[in-house]
Amino acid sequence: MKLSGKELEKLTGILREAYRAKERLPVREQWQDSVMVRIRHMGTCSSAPGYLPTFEHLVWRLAPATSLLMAVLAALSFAMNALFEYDIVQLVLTAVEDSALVHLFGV
Amino acid sequence: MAMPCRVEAPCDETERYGVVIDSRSPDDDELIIRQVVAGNVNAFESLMKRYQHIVLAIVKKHVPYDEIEETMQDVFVRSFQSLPTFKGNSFGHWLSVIAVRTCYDFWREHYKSRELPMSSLTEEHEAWLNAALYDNSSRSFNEAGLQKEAREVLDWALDRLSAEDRMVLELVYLEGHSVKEAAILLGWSTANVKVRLFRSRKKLRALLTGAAKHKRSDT
Repeated sequence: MKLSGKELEKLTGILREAYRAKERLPVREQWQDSVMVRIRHMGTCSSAPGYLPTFEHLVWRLAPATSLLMAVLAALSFAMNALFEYDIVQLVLTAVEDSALVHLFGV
Repeated sequence: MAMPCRVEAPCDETERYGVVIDSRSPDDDELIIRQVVAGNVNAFESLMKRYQHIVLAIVKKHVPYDEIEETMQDVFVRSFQSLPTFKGNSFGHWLSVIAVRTCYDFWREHYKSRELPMSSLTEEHEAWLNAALYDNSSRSFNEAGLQKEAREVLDWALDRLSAEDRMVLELVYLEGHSVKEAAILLGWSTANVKVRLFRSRKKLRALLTGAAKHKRSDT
């Protein structure tokens, strides 16, 4: 049996109040000392941007160009493969033709 | 002594969390941030003390009680590490974003490493659920004693959702943030938040419906 909209609204209202009441829970302040200990242990936060953020920024900027390049390369690779296969077929056919001519005319 | 004021945030973060902090202006924040970035690590303590209420208000609601202190540490250590990249006008809002994303990471890690089976609802919880649904008397279910059971039922339901569904549901459905605000806080697109919200609400509804035993005649 499904809950009616009114029943569900009543229940979620109560749950919402209970959720918001979490904000009033008391918390010890010892974590502040631990933060400062960890931070002092880490030393300074470097003002020079690291390589990773720079790289991440570049990744998104270059993403469209990279996708386009990949598509072009894929098409080129497909076309080249097709050309390669065409060349092989042509080579085989030529070889067959040549051997047939040798047999027929003794060339 | 100057009167306390509210720090301004682009999406009213401090308003929503109802936090009043001390009288120093964002210019003071910038000065302290510059000092910290220049190497005066101890100056970070004043920033932390000034904004801890905003972070606490977020973390208390999103992670289990026994994980609050650890998560608070993670939020401030992450903000310290990212301080050189801070370019906004509101440090409070910037910190709120870090706090929400740290809580999201907490749940992602928690679900990934969870080996124990999820707890089930006890008979007391089921009784509470039925009473909350069908009790027409004037008693308030927001009293302290009953709120504990309400929290446990809510935690039981949220525990059965993914980290993504959980965060969206908490931010929008339970806290009352707009979809746009939730998208900014989580770093997602608004379309993603909307889809997640729709699915997670459906899942929550199914969970609560399944848990509630309809004994209208008994109650």
